[in-house]
Amino acid sequence: MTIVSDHAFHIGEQHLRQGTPSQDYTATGTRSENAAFATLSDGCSSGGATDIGARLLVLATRRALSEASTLNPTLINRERDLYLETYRRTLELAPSDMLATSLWATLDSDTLTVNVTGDGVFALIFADDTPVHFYEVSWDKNTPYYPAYRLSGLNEQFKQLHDSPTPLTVIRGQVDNPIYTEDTYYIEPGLQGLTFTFARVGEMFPTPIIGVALFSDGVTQVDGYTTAEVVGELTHFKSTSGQFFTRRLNRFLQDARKRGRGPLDDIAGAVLYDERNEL
Amino acid sequence: MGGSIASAHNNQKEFSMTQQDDFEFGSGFGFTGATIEQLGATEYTLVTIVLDESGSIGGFESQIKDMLDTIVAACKRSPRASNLLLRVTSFSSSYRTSNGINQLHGFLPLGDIDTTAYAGLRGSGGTPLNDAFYDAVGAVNVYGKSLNDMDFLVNGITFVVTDGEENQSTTTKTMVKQELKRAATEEILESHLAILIGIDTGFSAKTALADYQQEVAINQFIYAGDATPSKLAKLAQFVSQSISSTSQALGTGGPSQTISATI
Repeated sequence: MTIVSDHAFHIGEQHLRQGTPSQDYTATGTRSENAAFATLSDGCSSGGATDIGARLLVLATRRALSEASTLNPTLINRERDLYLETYRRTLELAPSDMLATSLWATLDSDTLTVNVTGDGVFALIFADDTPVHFYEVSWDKNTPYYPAYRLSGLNEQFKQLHDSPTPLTVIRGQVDNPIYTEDTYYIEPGLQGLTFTFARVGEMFPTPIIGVALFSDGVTQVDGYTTAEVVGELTHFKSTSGQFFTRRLNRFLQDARKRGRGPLDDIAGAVLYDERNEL
Repeated sequence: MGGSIASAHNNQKEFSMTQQDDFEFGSGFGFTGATIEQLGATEYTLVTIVLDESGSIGGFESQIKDMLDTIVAACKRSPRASNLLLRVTSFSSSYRTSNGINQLHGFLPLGDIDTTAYAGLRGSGGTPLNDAFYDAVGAVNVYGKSLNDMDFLVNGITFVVTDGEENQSTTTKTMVKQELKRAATEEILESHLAILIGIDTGFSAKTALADYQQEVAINQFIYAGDATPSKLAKLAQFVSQSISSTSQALGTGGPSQTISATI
């Protein structure tokens, strides 16, 4: 098995216009010889210096994923939060600077695991040109949960903010199909981070899973494009050498600006792809 | 038109670690380039250096080879080194089976280029300048389009160094002009800069080359004067600086600013 990875982020039109930094950050790495991980974070626009928070969250997640001996999402997220708090205190940052989402995924020879705390999109890439499936995770009122709320003791306040008992929504779709499936979740699982586990070969999908892409919710805000179109474009890799996702993102952004204003929000992606392609 | 790709590459020593593919264009023209699927960066500048190897450069071969070595060494030191793909050819009517073109190596990452493996130049035969330009720009267009189709951002810069005027080509000036125009108008490359460099080996062709630049619509003509070691060293500096600024201009949507050359 040869898993290749790449990640990139790009500032959105709003932050560019306002002279503020991109609040998305992302990284990829390996957990072992046969397992790779990707992680991504999107800072809250109405928070503090969340560009720094998003970076620290990615660094904390990367460390937790690299060091974890077993793939237990609860333990990994707990380690992530411990590191994040350590970094915050060391740098004397405010809790509001840490308001950022956390997405991570691991891919090994048998299993794909994705964990989402907050909002964002992830996509499953299949062998034999089977259309890409995507999952869009969002919270009511565009108010996602951030790991920093727990660190600041704000969980109860967050719960009171949401009127609906099921404020967390996961839309499942395919890039070639306009029909979506929508699932709603109670608030509590969302605070832990939703975990999605897929057998790479199984009955759930017609062909094996060969890759995964994590995206910030910037993919849902590209002028002139639907989320499905953006995900389809960003997973249509021409090759898988070196900065393969960065090249795809660059070309997509170039094309998107011909159609409209391009990405309104920051946009980030991290991809794991099994080059062997057959299992 | 004679020639075949196999014969065109006969003089090419094997020193590349990168896997390469063969490409063909026009009538009997061909080149090699690093296998695109294996390239890892996001953007590349295609650099082509074309050296006159006709009889009139006889006695200056080692100086010209030194100039080439200096250019490659400077490129390797460039902060943009990992975004350059270099192709080197020489031309002379002596290369009868390959349209007058001898490819020293195709488009390769600099890390794969060992200048000590370059075969020395041997001045002989006539000056197929049209063929040299047509081959160089055609290869940039074909390889550049392949890179562009694979999401790479690409621009190019081509240098043709000669001491004499066209006298023995299979292609015409019109064909060269069309190929240069194609690079600019078909959005194959973000930009392409073609530079004709004249050197004096005792047969000054300054006026003829200046006219050639106008007729073929080459971006820039530099006359370096006598092919002395110091002049060729300055020429090498000019070439490497031009390569660097062209590569830095990638992503700006246009060509780099021309360096004013006083050699």
